[in-house]
Amino acid sequence: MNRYLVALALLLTGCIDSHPPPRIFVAASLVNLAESWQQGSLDSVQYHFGASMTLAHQIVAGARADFFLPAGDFLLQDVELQKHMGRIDSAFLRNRLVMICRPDLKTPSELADVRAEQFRQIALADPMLAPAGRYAKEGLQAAGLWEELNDRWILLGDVRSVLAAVTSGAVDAGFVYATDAHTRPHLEFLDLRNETHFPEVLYPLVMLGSETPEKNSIWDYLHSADSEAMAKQLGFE
Amino acid sequence: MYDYVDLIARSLQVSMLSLAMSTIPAIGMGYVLARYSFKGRTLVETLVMLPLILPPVVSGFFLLHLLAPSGVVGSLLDQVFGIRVPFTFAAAVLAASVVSFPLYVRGAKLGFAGVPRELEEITATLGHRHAAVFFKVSLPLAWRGILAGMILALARALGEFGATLVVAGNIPGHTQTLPLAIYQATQSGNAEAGWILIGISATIAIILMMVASRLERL
Repeated sequence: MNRYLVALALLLTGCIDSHPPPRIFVAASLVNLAESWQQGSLDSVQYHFGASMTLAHQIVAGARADFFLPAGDFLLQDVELQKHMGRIDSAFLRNRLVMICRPDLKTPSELADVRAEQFRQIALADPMLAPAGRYAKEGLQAAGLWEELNDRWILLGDVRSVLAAVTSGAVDAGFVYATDAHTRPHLEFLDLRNETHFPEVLYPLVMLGSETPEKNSIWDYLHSADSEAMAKQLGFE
Repeated sequence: MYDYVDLIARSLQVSMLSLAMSTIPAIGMGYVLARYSFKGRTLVETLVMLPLILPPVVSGFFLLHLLAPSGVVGSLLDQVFGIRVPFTFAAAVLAASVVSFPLYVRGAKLGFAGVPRELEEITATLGHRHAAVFFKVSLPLAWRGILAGMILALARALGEFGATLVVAGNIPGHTQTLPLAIYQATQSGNAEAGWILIGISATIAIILMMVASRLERL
């Protein structure tokens, strides 16, 4: 029995890595960019993807993280999260919302066309968890469409789930970032750039905790010309 | 933030409706599995039990691909009847019945297996037809097993999360049930609502267990 307990304790402590690699919490919309970083110099970094508010809460709840890249600068105002913040670049990346449709439907030419009968189910990320959903909901509310089309909204876990649901034809349309739409070749989209209620989305880069040489080198890499080119290639501005 | 009464009502509706949908097929399947041996029996039993063993998200994945307007069943429903199932209340009910069905079948099968065959045979020699034997002897004697299966299935349906999230989404006022609301509260850091929702879930669970034990003493 004792031997068993000792073996179990050893096994469990063996699972705890004493020198863990740096860990970056990344908004779901940055999956492809993070893959590029991984193929670049950040190959020994652990990535954790999810909806930004979900990630923020995990950090506040004590998750070990060295960087946080949420899709939305409003998270910088979170008082609980501020306790963990170190160096901040409040406008690290820029993105914008677009509307996409099922492959067999014609993409509308303006937002008001979303009223059309053919868009019976329209997906967006859960506004409580993901900024993409929050921006989409706020924009639709301001445009007077949210209440009017009240029974059409389908809420999904994060923005990539919306992309998957629309492109697989499970729903008729959805709101995602321009960069999400860019990941699917030939996917048409309605650019909401000129809609007044859909402002540009800023991604801050947040270093969590105090600076270390290792964290600073990651920071520098993320601001390098290489990394900037990668972002541009994926459609970030 | 959350409409608690609405959430309780929807959770109960989803699980009760899923139970109502499964009852006849589950009792029938339980009887067949307990009483008949036929070619491919193991295969049928395995398929029926699969949602119990597979991760619930897998059940959700299959349901979504089957029911989406681009899927086999979904395209038929959409084009012929104009019905869309994914991300609706109906999808939540369907997800709950698929994952709870194996437990219901298992209970019913054990119930029927416990009915002495002689009693059924004697009734048959008295000139009763097969259906009469089933309704007058087998079913009344198997009720304990069926009830046990029903209670487990109800508990499973009430707690259903993974398959529902995939095929029905987490839409407040439409497909959001208690477990999904708890998930959302947890993920968004709303601990206060989380505790209230957990308190409600625990209360429902305790009431159910009390009703179940009362029924079993009958």
